[in-house]
Amino acid sequence: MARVLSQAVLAEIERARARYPRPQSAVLPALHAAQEEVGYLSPEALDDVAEALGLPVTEVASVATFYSMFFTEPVGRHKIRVCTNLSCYLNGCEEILDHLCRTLGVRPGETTADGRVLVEVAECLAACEEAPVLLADEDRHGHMTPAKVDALLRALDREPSATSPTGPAGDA
Amino acid sequence: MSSERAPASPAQMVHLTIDGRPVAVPKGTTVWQAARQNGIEVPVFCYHDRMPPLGACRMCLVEVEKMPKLATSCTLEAGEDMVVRTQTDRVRQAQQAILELLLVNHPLDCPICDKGGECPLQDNTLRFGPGQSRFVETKRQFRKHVRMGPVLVLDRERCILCWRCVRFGEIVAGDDALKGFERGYHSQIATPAMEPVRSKFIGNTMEICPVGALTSATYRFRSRPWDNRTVQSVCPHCGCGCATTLNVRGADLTRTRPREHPEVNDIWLCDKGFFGYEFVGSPERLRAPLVRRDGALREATWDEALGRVADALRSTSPEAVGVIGGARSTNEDDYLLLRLFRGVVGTNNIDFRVETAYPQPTSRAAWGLPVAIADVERADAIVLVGCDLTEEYPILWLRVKKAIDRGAPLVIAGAWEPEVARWAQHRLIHRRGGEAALLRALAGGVRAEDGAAASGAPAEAIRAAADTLRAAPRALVLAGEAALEQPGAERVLAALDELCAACHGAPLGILRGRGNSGGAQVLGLLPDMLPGYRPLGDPSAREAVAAVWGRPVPSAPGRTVRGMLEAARAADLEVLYVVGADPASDYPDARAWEEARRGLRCLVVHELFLTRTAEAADVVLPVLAYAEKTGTVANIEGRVQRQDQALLGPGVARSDAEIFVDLASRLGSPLAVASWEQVFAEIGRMIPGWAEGARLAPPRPGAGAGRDGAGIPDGPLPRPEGALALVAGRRLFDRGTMAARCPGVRGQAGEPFVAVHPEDAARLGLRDGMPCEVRSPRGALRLAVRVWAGVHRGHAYAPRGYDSAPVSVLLDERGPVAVTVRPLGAP
Ligand code: SF4
Ligand code: SF4
Ligand code: FES
Ligand code: FES
Repeated sequence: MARVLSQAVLAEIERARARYPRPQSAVLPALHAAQEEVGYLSPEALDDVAEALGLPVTEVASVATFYSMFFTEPVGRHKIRVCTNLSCYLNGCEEILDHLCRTLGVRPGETTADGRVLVEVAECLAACEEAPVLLADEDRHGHMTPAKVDALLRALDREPSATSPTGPAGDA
Repeated sequence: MSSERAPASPAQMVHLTIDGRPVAVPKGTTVWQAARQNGIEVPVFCYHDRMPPLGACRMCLVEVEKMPKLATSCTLEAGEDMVVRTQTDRVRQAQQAILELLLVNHPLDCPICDKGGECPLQDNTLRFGPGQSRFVETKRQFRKHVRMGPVLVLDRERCILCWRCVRFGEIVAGDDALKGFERGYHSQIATPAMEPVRSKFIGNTMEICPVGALTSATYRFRSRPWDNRTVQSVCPHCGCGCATTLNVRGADLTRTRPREHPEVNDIWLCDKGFFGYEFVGSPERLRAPLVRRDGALREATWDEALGRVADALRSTSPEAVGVIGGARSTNEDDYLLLRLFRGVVGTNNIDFRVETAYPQPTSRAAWGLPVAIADVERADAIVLVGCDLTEEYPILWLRVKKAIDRGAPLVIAGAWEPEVARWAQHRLIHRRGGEAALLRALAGGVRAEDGAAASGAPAEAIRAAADTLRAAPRALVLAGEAALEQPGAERVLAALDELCAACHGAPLGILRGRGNSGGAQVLGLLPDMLPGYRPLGDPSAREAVAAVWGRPVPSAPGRTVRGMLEAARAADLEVLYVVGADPASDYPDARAWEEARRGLRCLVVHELFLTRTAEAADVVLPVLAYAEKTGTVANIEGRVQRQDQALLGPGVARSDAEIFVDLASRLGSPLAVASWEQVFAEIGRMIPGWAEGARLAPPRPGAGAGRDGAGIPDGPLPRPEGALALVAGRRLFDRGTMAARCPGVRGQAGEPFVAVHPEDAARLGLRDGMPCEVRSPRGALRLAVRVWAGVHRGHAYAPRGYDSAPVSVLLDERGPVAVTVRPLGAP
């Protein structure tokens, strides 16, 4: 008796479960699917995932808190993660982060009051050659400048779910 | 931490040197174990000998020749010609470094920490640690003391992340109660959203936590270890008879801890055992005898109260006297009960089985385990029929879990899913009343389809479970109250025998009885049995008893509890003597009890508290609790264990034994009892093999039968339209007489409820948490609805053991009842 997850997501979890001999292996894909639907991993969402996989909710919740891409509190619908590791640091990520935060009126780790955007700092995004780099939802944006940040935010405004102004690979 | 188990086959030995000493150990032994077995202590934190090694804390580092780096001895298997050193400067430096790092974030608040004085971190730091810390920065800070439910207090600042508590839940208890959350610097032990921990075994994590991160809410700040006196005892609750140590400070019972007993509880207890002790010190304990005068119970002297009882016994013919109870007394109390009532008064109306309306004759189906508790973990397959194991006999579950870990399949049959269903390979959830057919189908005596038709469990599942069982050479079959407390129990028993035979002669355990039921049964607090499982009908057995007692034993079998209540209603029974039992709440038909009570001329009750039964009594005698007297008890496997007096009783309360001795004198036949040891020895003259630690398992099956009371209807359940079949189950945490006065148990019990299947809930307009009225032809209760897919469709599950809402109000001794569940509006 799922509380918050739709039949579609439950079916997706079931497919993930069927791929592995042990249900533990399906925890990550199941959590991703649940978070995508609910926006974050609420206690009810964790209960549903646990029930769907036949695992104790403690185990599922423990995994959910281990990975930084999972949220157990409500966060912005869009997540922007600015890399602040060495290469990006040397290439001016501070300015990018600063501009982003000032434009949105948040501090790193916070969500805008309208619940639209979460800003976070990230460790190396494995694209140092494009530093400074940020991740907007699923999409990577390299060689960032304040102007490109503004364009990105406008794109988010226009299209709530598609986040990249030029498409996932178009900005190299 | 003691008694490590060396790997089983001693055939292959490996030879190594530890600190210059040649050592031989069986292959598979770790270096840590090898050192330990040879008296060399290597400090540990994460390693615990009841769980496989983890290698997380690195406290156990040793130097091994030819290995460039220090090695964790807890994970390293001893190898041939290994040369190990545990005392070198390198090792000592490493130990100091580990401890210094652990203490970086440890608050060192020993002065306000309950663990102080029995803390491995303190001890290891003192013995192996550096004298000083170089760390001057700020320590990791968390909210001090998170209360995680009624019994557990978590202090994350003290935690050294050894993972023992987490692994206990995963490996030993199988309840996954605590987990590691977050990671790296933020790692912490928690539950989702810090909700109250859900476990029946969490007390054990407080025992094995090597620091004061997990402490007990009931013991908190009550005492220091060195101020506690320790007294050996036995848990009085479920019937497993776990060995315990009571801690006493001044006149207070401060806590209960497990006492290692490899055959019974190993080193564990369940949380009822850990936290179910506070009733002993309750201010509501009865302190003086009460006698009914002018319609009300009033305090009286022992002389007046016992004079009243003696008068009643003297003026009544023996067949009109009955005795109920004895499962909360010691063996010595119970034996003197027999000498008084069988020997002096001359009645066989004696029965300890207060909570059953369908008593199967003991000679046919004695209660208890035919194997030792420790043997349960050695079974190759386990069938659990009508028993909610963690709710009823929690410590047995830990053995079953070990069997499962060894690869033994668990097969479960019941009208609802027990908590451990997740671990079962086959779950046969069925209609109540379908047990016999289902079991016969499992045994192959009837077709799976027929079993399915009669029970509602899928034929496919029955077939699969039957195949699994057939493949197990040494299965164990365990049946509980839910399967046997019904009119068709004789057929269920026959089907169980059939199943055992089909499982290559598997032993059958009847998981029933609580407290000292085991002792009451061995001694024969039964209408048709004598001490040592000898049938009353055997003249030589009667003579043997008479020879010791110097008085004849009446030969006509007595009445069961149900028979006594029926006789009371018919005014054939006039005096009822209840010893540590509450039939008004626990006999499975409250109305039948009330009618019986009205028929009695005199009701006498031995009690700790003014129970429902005591409130209606003519004489209430205050007695000592388990912690207040020395004596022996026997558990569900028939093992005799001693419990010592830890405290004085309240007011002028006396032991049951003293009361029986006094009454015998008043009736003109003194019993001449000097001490419990003398009584214990006298029991030994009657029961071969009687000794402390001995196991007196019931012979099975035997001959003979008891009088079970009049006509027990047997047949399909009459069920009005829309009604649900009522099933009553036990809960470990309930609110009965004793549990209600233990905050640590009471708090976990929650409010009484009725559970219904989601489909029935939808049909009846019931939602989770909604108040509702549950009505049977016998009575009605107001309960909260719990919508639960674990109960079979068409059934309503209600817990026993809530004195404020006794399910016995709904039950009918004449047969299963159907109930209507009606919503009483939104919560
Ligand atoms: S709470 Fe105790 S047992 Fe659990 S990980 Fe921390 S120190 Fe170890
Ligand atoms: S399992 Fe039974 S005997 Fe053991 S501690 Fe728990 S209630 Fe007491
Ligand atoms: S440091 Fe930013 S992407 Fe590698
Ligand atoms: S005890 Fe060996 S690593 Fe912890």
